[in-house]
Amino acid sequence: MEFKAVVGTRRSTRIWQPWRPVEEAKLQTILEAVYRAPRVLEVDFVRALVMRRDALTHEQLLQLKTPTTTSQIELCPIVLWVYADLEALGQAMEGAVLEELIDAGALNESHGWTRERVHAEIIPDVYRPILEREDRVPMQFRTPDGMREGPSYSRELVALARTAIGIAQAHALLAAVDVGLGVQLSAIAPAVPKEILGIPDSWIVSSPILLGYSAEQPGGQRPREPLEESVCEGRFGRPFESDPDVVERLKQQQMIQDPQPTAWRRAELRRLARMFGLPE
Amino acid sequence: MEFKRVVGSRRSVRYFETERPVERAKVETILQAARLASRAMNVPWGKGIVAYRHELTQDERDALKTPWAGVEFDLAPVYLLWYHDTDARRVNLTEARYPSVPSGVLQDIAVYGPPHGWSRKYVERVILPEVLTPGLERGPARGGNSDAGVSLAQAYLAAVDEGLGACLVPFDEQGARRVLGAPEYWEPVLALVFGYSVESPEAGGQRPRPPWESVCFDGHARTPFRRDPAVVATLEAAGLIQEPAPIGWRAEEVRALSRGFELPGGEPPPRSA
Repeated sequence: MEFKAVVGTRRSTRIWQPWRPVEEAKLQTILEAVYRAPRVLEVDFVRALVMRRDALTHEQLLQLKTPTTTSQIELCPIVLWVYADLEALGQAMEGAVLEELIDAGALNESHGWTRERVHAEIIPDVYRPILEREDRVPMQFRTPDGMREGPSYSRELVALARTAIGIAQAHALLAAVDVGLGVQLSAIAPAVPKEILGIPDSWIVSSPILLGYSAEQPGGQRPREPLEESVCEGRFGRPFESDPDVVERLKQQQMIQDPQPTAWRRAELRRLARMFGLPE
Repeated sequence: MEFKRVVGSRRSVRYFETERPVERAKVETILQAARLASRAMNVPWGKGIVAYRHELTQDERDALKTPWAGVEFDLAPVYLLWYHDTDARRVNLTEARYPSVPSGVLQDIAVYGPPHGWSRKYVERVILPEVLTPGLERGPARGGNSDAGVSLAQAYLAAVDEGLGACLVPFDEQGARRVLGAPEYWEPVLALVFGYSVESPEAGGQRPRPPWESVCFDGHARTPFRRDPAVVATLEAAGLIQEPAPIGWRAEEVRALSRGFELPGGEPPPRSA
């Protein structure tokens, strides 16, 4: 699918065809897109993990529910977790990845990149301060016996890791739409998956991606505030003013689509509710 | 461009046609892609400032530089400085100027609906107290936001789709505050610097990655996802997987580019007798 149509067609799907499995080739395609995502400061933070609904017991499924993720968890066949390993920066301190990029011609002397500078400046002046900042965030984990405290990491490191997660998630979400699946970034109680999936304490997570074949029609694009509200031009306080001609072109290219509500949406929701035995 | 080829063609481009402006329509397309990204509770966490190199003095450009990224700010004609708005949740809750969960609009237009238990009453009794308001009393909190990363990634891919070269780099927070007026409650994410690339489309080849088995897992954090060579072949044909770096002539390309921009590393290699 064309890139702009992929961006424009993505919606938060919440009702899937629970009986229809996702082909392994499609899952691999999504993972390959994640694997190719840009890294934050060239640190290999990202870990992607496929969790299959049918490998869980009904009790485990129920334990995954949160106020915002209810019946979705029983309908979608796949949950894709994107984690960031906070130990990855420590591993990057060896400098092997940066040296590899220098050898590959990606980081060059023209921009100040040499093996000597990696070890004399980048690692001690960029990586190490991020690792060692005093403003730290303790990892906390919910267990059957209450909260357990894990290692703590600098807040700046956590922020970078969350950015890395988001970048990888964007690749996964769009790749899933491109292969014809419905997706939702959702919230799942992480304690049960952590135990089932054997997640180390150093892996942090954000919203997992629920995916499968959608039972919903795409419907309208979800509402957004005007572009001017989110982006400034030249300086903070000067809104970036949208050009109607650009918007028109993006409509033709399906990146901007008709907004929700569509006239038939409520009837669709009622029908889907009846199909899956959900509240109308 | 087809989506898979956009993903596969993306590289960190660092040499740009510095004096060639980027059409404003392309800049807006990049921003619209970011705006349409998925985001929790429909809160606009990602915020940005577009800055044009030619509108800044050398001192102002220097103020944005970090030990990691300097020349990029000298060569790229456009910078999109991307932030996590740490006050976005509060504003979304209290002002509700645009469609938001607490405003009830999303239920009214059936984005959320009864099949998942959503109603105005559910929002008031469960979502607001259990999801949206906890922690707000502590004020804006730093520590990153993955949704800001999602929107930035969509901007990056859109730049590639628009035929531009781009690169994600860190920028100096204090410098950006002084030069561009970014508020303190905006936490820096990264800058997307972009423009027309003067590198070959291969830009040296697809960058190396750690072993697949250390990144992609299936059902358990110690079980790698089985990678099917037939799928890899399909994705090579579709352009998502491309020739890996280093490509043989990359060093010569980099030397020539360095000479062109009068940067270090442009010396021709010694010729054998």
